[in-house]
Amino acid sequence: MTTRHAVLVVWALLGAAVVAGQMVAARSGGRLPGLGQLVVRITARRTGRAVMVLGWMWLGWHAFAR
Amino acid sequence: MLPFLRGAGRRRRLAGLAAALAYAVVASFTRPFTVPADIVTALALAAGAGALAATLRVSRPTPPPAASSRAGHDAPPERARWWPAWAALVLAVVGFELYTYLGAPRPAYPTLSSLIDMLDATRPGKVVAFSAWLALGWCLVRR
Repeated sequence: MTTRHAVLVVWALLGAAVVAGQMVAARSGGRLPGLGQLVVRITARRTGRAVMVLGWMWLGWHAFAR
Repeated sequence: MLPFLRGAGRRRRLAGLAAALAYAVVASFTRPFTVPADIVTALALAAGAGALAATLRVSRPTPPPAASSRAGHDAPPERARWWPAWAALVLAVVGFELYTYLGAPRPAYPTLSSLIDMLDATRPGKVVAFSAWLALGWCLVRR
């Protein structure tokens, strides 16, 4: 296995862990927090919302423009 | 049906969804490092910045104690145990991103940006990625 393949496998495992955690949270009927609730917690404050939106703006510019 | 399409204002939200999808299709015809890509992305950024400014101007009610308290203090024990798990996962992603970012050569150490570039390489992939980005922005600025 090349380094590239190993790195891609780790990314896939991390992605699978996020999806699995989200599925467990969704199936818990609100008992367990999902990523959405984490975002709601952060954006409940103005500073948190501004930081998240600035991060979103950087992500878009980086991924689609430059 | 998606939860956000239920209830009052359904038509307006459906129209917004269709407009966002159409915009993502338009964006899929652009390539990074070109003026059209800059313009398409900048317009979405301007909309996001405007929406952020509007939401920050509106005075928001103080969140209830459970929402404003730190995780693990007022939350039920089972919920409290899950916040560190999410934090650990986010740290793992950030840590691995740093590891790949500092690795060389880039093809051997693909970063998250490289993965997004792979998705953007095809038109349907770019529509999906741009739509997901717009949806994320909408989730962040909605009141």
